Order: sequence, then structure tokens, then C-alpha cells
Amino acid sequence: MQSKNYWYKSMTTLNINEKEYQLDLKGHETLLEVLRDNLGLTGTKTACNEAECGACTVLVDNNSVLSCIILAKDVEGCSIETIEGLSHEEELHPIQQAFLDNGAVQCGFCAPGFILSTKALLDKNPEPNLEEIKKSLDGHICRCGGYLKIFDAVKDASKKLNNHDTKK
Amino acid sequence: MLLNPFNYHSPKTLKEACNLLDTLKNARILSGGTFLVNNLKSLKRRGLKTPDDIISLQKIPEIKGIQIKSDKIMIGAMTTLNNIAQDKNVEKHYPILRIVSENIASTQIRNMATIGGNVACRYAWTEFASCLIALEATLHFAEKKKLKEISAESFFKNNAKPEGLLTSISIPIKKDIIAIYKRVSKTPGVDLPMLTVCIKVSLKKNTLLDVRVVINDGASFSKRDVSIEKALEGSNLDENIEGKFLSNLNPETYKLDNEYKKELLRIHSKYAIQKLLVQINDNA
Repeated sequence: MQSKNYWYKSMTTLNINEKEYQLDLKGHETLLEVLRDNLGLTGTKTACNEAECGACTVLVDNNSVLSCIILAKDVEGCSIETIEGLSHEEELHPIQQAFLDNGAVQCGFCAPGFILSTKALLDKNPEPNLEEIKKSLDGHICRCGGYLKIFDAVKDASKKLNNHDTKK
Repeated sequence: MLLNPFNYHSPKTLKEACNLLDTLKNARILSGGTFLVNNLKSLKRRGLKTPDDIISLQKIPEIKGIQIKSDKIMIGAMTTLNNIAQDKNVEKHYPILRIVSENIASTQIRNMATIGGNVACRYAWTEFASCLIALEATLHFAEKKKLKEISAESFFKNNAKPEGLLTSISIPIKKDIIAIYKRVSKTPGVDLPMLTVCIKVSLKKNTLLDVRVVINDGASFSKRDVSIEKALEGSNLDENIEGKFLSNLNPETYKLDNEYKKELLRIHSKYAIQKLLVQINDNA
């Protein structure tokens, strides 16, 4: 067994936003680095880099996880969703629209993480109450302190999505 | 680059993982990654040596998931905390495991962190320790040529070293068990616990049996408080259980470095025993 072969790369297939990417990756590259540096998906933000703030949140198999502490090779074969995968061309996702409508975005740095966690929540629980919203967003920090409007936006998004489903 | 380079190994079976662990003596095991990856970053920042080999257990399906096997609930080491919190069997037999899981860190961390990692990393304050000791859990380890079982209680004694690979945790299913968990942290949000108290009793004809009281002071490993257990064992519900509990509680036996923390232990132990009594009344 070779013990020092650090620069060994291998082909890894990542499924991101329903597209397959063939990437030549090293074992120590985090998903955050791969998304931002290799693929240019800079909607996922780098902030604390130590699993405290939630800005780097992405969805892996519909669960919100922190891309700064997950190795890219560990999520091979999983379905990864980033903020870029939510909107369809010019049309925003109802959750993104709800965040805009409610003024839940101030500087906007934390917003991609909040929006993805909201999506994970509403997929599992279409009508969450305030406590459930707070619990599911507990891993996010908004330095502007705009939490109340974010909670309003999540409630609004829940209504928008439910109306959207009934219209169908 | 966030991490120093290392060789990444991703075994597909438990056997392969055990062989790798045997060959690579200084390899570190990666389960959920919430402790290890942060730890690797911190070592890099401080200019310290980082491990050459990392063995990721993410691709081994046989150590994931929760099953009921005869009279035991078997939790695979790679089961995430949110999977434990949402599992029906856990809710039916031991809702305390859900409560413990839900209190750990944030949603994203709970989606990644595994019970195996939480236990095997052996940080003094890890939250599953007190609960697993109280519920008389057994930890199952696999090595290259043998399987080993060790009780949670002996695993968390100070000098015990983890051997092999933690594959699953089994907890005996018993009837009439009542268990409560009390956790104190500085802030109500995402924070490490300063103190946890876990009490388990089995109730037969209004008598408390098999009492286990496990206290974690946040500074040393969770340990049983045998003097309280002896005092409560065999007590009838008509007796003053709260009084017995509190008169046998000695804050001096814990590594509490100031009066504030000693007071904290007294107050929250009182809340814990009250919570247990309320739960006993609710079940009756």
C-alpha cells in the first residue's frame, strides 16, 4: 500500500442540479471548493469555513448539509442541489420570490443557504409552524439580523407553494 | 486549499475497511466528517501535522440504518442523527434517543453527523455518551479477524482506547422503562452542553428498579453516580424520591471548577428528577 501519494487524482462523477459532471478530483477537496472553483457555481458562499454559519449550505439527496466540511468524493452518486438549480431561466422559484417579496434579503450573503434549507423543510413539511421553521433554520446566521423577515418569507413561501400545487 | 492533502480511501464493504485500517496504522476514520474535517482544518491553521490517510465510511451500506433484532434495537454506526430522530422504532421504544439527537448542533450538522462518529470520537462532552450508558448500550467493533463487544460504560472510562471500527450500537428493549434527559447550555440555540443529566428507571408495581443516573459535567467523561443509584434502587413512589436524589448528590465528585457550576448541577438535577416524576405520572 502506498502511503504518500497525495496528488493522486481520480475521475469522479458528481450529479449537480440534475447535470452530471465528470471531474478529476483529489481526495482532500471539499464540495465547496469544487462547486466554486472547479464549476463556477459561486451562489454557494464561503464564509466561516468551519461549519458555524450555514452560508455554504447545499442539498444532498434533499437534506441540507454544509459543503465546507463535506469531501466532494464522499457525495459521488448523490443528487446535489445548489441555489443555481432552483430557478428556471428567468423565472424564480416560489421560495426565492417569497424572500424578495418579504424583504428577507439585506446584504444577501446568507440568503442562498437560508433558501435551500427552506426548500428542504417545505419538501418534508409543507405547512410548518414558527417553531418548526426556527428549528430547521437553526444552522444559519444572518449578520444583518433580518431573521423576522426571513421567518415571514418562509411562511409566505409555504403558502405560495401550496397554492401552486392546488392550481396544478 | 482548505485541507492539507491526504490519501482518500473509500472502502465499499466492512471487510475492506477493516483490512485498510489494519494496513494503514495512522489512518483516521471519516464518518460524518463534522468533527474530523474541522479538526483537520484547525491542525492545518496551526501548522501541525495532519494524517496521511483518511478512510471514509460513507460508501458502506451495511453499517447504516436502524433495525430491531429480537430484543434489541440495533443502530448502525453510520446512521445520521436526523435519521435517528425521525425513526419510528426509536420513537416507539426509546424516544429519549430522539430527544438527544434533536438537541445536538444544527439541522445541517444533524444531517451529516453520525451516532458512530459522535461516540467513537470520544470527546468528553459528546451527548450520546450519558444516554447510552444509562440505557445499557453495547458497542460492536470489528477488527480484521475478530468482532468485539464492549459496554458503553466501559468504553467511556477514561483510559479505554477505541479498538477497531465501530459498526453498530445495540440497546436492549425492555418494558416499563422511563428515561429522561436534561441538558444545560449557555445559550438556547446551537451550543455545547455545560451539563447533562440522564436518568433511567424501570418501574414495577410502583417501585423503581434498575436505576441508572449518568451525569456529564462537560469536562470529563460521562459517569454513573452510584451513590444516587443505590439510594433510589427499590424505592417506592410514595417515598420522597426527589429528596433522596438530592441528598445523595455530591457536586464535589464532579470536575466542576467553580461555585456557579456546582449550583447549576444542584438546580438542574432537581429539574431532572422532577421531570422523571412527571413522566412517571403521565405514563400511569
